[in-house]
Amino acid sequence: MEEISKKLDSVLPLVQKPSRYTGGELNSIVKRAADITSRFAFCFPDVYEVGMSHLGLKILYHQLNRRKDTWVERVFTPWDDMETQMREKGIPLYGLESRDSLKEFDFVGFTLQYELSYSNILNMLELADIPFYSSDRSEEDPLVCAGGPCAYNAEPIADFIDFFLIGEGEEIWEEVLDAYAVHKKSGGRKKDFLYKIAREIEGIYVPSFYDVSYNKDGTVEAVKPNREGIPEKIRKRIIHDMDKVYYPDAFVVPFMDIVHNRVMLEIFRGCIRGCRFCQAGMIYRPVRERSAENLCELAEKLINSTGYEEMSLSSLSTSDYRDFKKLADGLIDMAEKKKVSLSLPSLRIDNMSLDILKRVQTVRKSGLTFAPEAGTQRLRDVLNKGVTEEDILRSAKLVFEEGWSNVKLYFMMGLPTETDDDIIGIARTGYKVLDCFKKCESPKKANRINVTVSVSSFVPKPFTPFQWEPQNSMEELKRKQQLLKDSIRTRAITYNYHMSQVSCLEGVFARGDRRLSKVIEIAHKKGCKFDGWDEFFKYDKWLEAFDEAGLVPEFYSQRKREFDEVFPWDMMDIGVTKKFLENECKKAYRAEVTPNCRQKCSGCGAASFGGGVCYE
Amino acid sequence: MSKYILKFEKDDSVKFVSHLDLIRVFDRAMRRAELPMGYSAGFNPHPLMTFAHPLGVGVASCAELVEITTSEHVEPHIFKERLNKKMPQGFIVRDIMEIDGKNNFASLKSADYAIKIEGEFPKEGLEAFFKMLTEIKVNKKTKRGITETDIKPFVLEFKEIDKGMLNVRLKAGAENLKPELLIEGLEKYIPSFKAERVLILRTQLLDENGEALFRTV
Repeated sequence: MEEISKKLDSVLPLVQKPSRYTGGELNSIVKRAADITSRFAFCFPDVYEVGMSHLGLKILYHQLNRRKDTWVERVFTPWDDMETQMREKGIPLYGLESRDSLKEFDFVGFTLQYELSYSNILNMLELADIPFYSSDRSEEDPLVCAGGPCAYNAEPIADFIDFFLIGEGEEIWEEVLDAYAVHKKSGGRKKDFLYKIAREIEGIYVPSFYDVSYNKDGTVEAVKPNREGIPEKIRKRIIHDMDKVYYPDAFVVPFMDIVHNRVMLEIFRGCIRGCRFCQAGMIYRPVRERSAENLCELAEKLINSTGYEEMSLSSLSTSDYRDFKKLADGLIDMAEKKKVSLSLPSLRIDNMSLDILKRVQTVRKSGLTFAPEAGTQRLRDVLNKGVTEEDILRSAKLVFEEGWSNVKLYFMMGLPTETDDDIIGIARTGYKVLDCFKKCESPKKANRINVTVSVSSFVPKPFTPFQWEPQNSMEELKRKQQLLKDSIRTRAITYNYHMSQVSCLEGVFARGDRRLSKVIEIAHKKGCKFDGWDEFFKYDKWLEAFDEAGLVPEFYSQRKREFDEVFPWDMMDIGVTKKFLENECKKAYRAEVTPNCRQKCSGCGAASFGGGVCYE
Repeated sequence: MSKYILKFEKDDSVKFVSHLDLIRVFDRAMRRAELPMGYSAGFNPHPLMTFAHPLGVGVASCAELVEITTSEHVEPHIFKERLNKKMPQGFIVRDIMEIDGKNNFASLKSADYAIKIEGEFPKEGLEAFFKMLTEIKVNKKTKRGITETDIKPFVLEFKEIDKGMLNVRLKAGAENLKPELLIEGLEKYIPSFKAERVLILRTQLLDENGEALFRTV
């Protein structure tokens, strides 16, 4: 620690935003290393201001640090200026709290929030001088583990990770730490510990205990346990009662500005909607809510302990919160009393939510967001989006009458069954919103209008009804982007779209298999990192890496998969069954919608967890 | 509305907290302490807070001055006590006084620094060398951009109390010299001097008479 601190004194004046690397923030937790059984480096494979905005980190950090035998510290990816300094001056990657090298930790745990962070994981292991491959690591090296949404199919990084934690982390981490305390006391090898937790703790996946065989065509033949007592299926963990589970009453308050620099209240997990492109909507089933009373109480405690000037709500679809009015009223009152502001995510606009929006000071007359996702009703039904054109236009009318002047519309392109008419339909939707503004006769109407049409490229994800679908090629996406651009001929509509190369890479890793570990290793050696950042993304290097590893990216992303294909992630049990997803896919082809969880249960399989919306 | 001047310490552990971030640090600490921070009127209210002299990133201080306006009157000693309970580690309010009119931050003329350097030093010592120099020209940021400037006249006092331990008084305010730039200049002019690690502590802000700014409000 001393040595690293001394070196930091001479290095930090040379880098941008040095408080990314110092620690010492309010509510951060420093313990005495000598008193600790389990030292856990919670690694977020992106830069500080992104990672510090992540709610999962805040929850686990404060929850697990309540244990006397455990010290959780934070680690983020150093920005490249700092990385250069660290490599030059021989500073290993360190925990922000202790400034000890990652090598001194028992657990090095990565949270997998997006596939494009995989190259950063290798970069961080290298900066910590920890071998990449599990099989190359010694007893002296920390256990390297990972969790988060991408862990449901983390086969592309399976060779680097000793064990995965599948599902929500609050309970399973306590069990892992309990088991580790026993293991450390009794002695034994890391393999013994892994064998024990893989057998005894539900939700633990140890990739080295499973063998993958492949068919001649390159698809997976089978994934089989190679040891006795190792479960065939790994069942995800969920928290049953959101009012009983731990939620922090203090957050670490960074000195510098971060992406989400505010009190965040998680109002529920899961989503009742069942949009067919959405992975989160499936893997977090069933929906489980936190009570409005509990949330208002937490909000007040968090404002008191952080001094934050702003709070916001976190969930997959805020408008679906059953007690929304009560919650909003409670929070708005509290915000007024404490002189803080409440910011609301995009809501389905109706008279009730509009009243609430008007009361909230941070929602200026600019900026309201809708996500029709597709440009025609047919395609929205394919997606099971459950939004009609009338809904959008009625909402637009309401907000224009109240004086809002900026409307953002989110769409995707490259969707299953999509035709050029659907693409042009995006432009048509934009024009109809514009029309709605022109026809508006309210005295409060704004002078000018801007409609922003933002279009991202669809990436098929595992555990969704579209997991069998091919992703559009880059050429096809580019053609569609141009087609849409040509269909928008007014300055009142701003058209934004994202680089399609990034989506293509994401598409490969989302549904990839174990053989991709090699590609990631080669790409890392070629300097790939921060792939989610345009200024770092090197698509040509990635293509070279695929080539050198003898793998074809299109095999993973652009191939139409058969319904009977064995997937690399089939050993994961998320509750929702493969059969349900298949039925949903077939219904999508018929543009047939499925009611949401509160309208009618469709028997997805999540009821097997015995809680949440399934038993409301 | 009441106005206070607070003298506070920003120690080595938080020396990389930037000047801009400091405003948030105080605003949030005030909220945690349930002290009635004053805010500007308008659509985007900001906390009413003025710092006497921005501190460079990487420099610690035991003599920072900030003027804070509250929306209601608070007894100064209570203000100090409650705020100190809620400041992040590394920040301590050392002194406070209530003021009636304007603060005296405009009369700032110089600042004292204690500098500790690890590295290689000339046999004669830095002070002897410094006295022999007729000029120290370095690239200095001015209003007109970066220009080569002789910074020697900006150095009002220069004492080496031990090897690598300097006490300096530098011009501050309208005419200003950052201590980091002085070290850079010395490295340039003294061939046998190489600073590997530099720890800088600001110890005082002074007015035109060399009196502590905080005392003469």
